[in-house]
Amino acid sequence: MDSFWSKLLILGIVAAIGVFFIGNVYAPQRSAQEAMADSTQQSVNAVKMGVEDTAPMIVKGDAIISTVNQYCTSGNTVDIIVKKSSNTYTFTNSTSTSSNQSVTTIADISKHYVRTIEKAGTQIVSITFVEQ
Amino acid sequence: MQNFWAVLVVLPIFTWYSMFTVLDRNYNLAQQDVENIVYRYTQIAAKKGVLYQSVLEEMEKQLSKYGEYEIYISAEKFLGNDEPTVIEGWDAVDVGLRAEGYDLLNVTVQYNKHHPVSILYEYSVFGAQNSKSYNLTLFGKASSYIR
Repeated sequence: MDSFWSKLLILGIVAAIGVFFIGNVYAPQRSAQEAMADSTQQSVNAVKMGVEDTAPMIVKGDAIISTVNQYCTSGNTVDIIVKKSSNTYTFTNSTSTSSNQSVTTIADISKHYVRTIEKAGTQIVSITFVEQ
Repeated sequence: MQNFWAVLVVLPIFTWYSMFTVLDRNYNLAQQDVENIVYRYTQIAAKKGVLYQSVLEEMEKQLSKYGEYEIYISAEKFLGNDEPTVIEGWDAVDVGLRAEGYDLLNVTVQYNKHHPVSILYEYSVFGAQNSKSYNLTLFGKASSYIR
């Protein structure tokens, strides 16, 4: 009988702790978390909206590599164009150009590039990087 | 065996709250740092009246510790018309902005990768998904009058 009452007591204590946790830790923390996330997301959106998608952005050469890796797979229709002095390199379905030059040899990670995005309506047509 | 079940319940909760605290703090500190860096170098450039490439590179060196980013630079000139004259991107670098009569210099930095805290904002400790999805990235924006 002793064991029954002690187990019941433990169950009661655990249930009380559970209710306390849900009411005083979990629920307020969740609503605070949502408020923090909303406020931060609004700040991020405000900054992003301040800069148009098609605005010229200054990036380093590693951005070319990650853009080509992201877009240039089979079936891709977005042209990634890299302009270096008088040369122009285009990537579409592969991370190499038609003359077999890899993006890692073309993009110089120490150099600055200006990236512009060309759109037709909402669809991206091409992304151009011009070396500075 | 009782300890095993107790640990199985407590450990995920403890892990989740620890991760949330660490990542949230990391995001806020990194965000503050990025804003400070952008603000500091925009002030320097505005005071000099030129955004030198060397100043831009010094700023980039500090920004690069948080990953891949992109920078938008613009300078605005107000001539009393409705629309200000604006130069953007590389056209505003190494140019005598004060000498050419530009009034305002704007620098915006956006990071490309989402911060991992976005995932924890989306899910509760019990795995319940929030109704909204969050794509939080680090960013910094500063504008300064060219004095």
